[in-house]
Amino acid sequence: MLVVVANKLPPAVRGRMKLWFVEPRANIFVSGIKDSVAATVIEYLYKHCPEESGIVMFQSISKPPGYTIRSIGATDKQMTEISGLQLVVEKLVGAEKQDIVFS
Amino acid sequence: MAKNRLFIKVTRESLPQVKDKYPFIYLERGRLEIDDSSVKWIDSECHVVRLPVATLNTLLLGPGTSITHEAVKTAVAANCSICWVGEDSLLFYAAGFLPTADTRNLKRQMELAVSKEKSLKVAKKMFVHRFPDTDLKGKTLKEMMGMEGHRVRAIYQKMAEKYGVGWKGRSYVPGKMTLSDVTNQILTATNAALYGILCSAVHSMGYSPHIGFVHSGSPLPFVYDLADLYKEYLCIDLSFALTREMAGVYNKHLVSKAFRERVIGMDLLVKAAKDISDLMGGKSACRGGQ
Repeated sequence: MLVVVANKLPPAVRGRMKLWFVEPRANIFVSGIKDSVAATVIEYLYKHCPEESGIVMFQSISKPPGYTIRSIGATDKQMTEISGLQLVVEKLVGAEKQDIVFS
Repeated sequence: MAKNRLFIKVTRESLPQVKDKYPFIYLERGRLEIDDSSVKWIDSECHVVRLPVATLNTLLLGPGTSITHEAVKTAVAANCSICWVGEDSLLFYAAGFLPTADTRNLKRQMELAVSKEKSLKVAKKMFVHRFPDTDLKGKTLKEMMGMEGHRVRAIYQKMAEKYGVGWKGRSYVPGKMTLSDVTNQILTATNAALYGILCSAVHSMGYSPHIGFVHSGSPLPFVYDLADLYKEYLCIDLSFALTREMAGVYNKHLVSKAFRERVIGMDLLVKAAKDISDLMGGKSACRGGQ
């Protein structure tokens, strides 16, 4: 399964996305495509989406932990990795707001 | 106080099986605490990271970590065990028990262990994994252990030759990790991590790490029994391969990364859950068994 959440997609890409995905809400795309097809779609998105698109992609995989998260452009939260597990860094209450980009 | 709390109970049905969990994460220099009923990790630079503990098999807590009472309770409720780990090897294991856990599997394990005949049968099943082509009929436990000793020494020698690494034998002095050679250091560290993962798998499936079938007398005999099933590839092969890669300088991050990749690559938790159930005979009563 691949879920793509975007801030703003180029219209051509958004149209093309609907070949594989359903769009239950604006700019949220859900699809049951398998790994190899998902890899192609992800590659397509990296190729055709500018940074402003703000895309986060969630893909389910068969090995633990069962998911991978990728992104294009700036998002609110930073990702981190502990012992190979992808986790989200939350801001500490009271800490200064930082511009965080995750890759 | 407690009356006014919004409390969502963690039920057994809502927890993943052992085989579906992420094997372990290692944390050091920071603090584990609770906020909004979930476990959060605050590292030494004040980054806050939420941990999905119900999907983790073990938290390995390294030096400089502190944990709150409530965080231990929540981890326990989510069936995630906690091991306290020293700088380079495991020092202490802890596991929580759910109030709802049942002891059916433990009882079965005890029944197998107290009967000499049944216990030898389980031990034989373990040795069959390692000597698939040899007839173990009529062999005593002592004889099989002797065979295993020879086999392990031969494996060390074979790996040393395979990877072109010098080998003077296994040496392990507790607390003096740095005195041994790099291969031995990696062996000590990876063995310890393997024990930690298996210990928590054994606990979460409702068995006891203290009742072994081959080993006895040591603190975690059942864990050592199980670890022997996976050590050849996970620890021994890895240690010699890494010794060559690290060119004589021990790097714990590299060791941990390579070990984790092998654990996930071979689906250790899936294998262990199946092997434990098979060894103990039949379907397991708790979650984690198939």
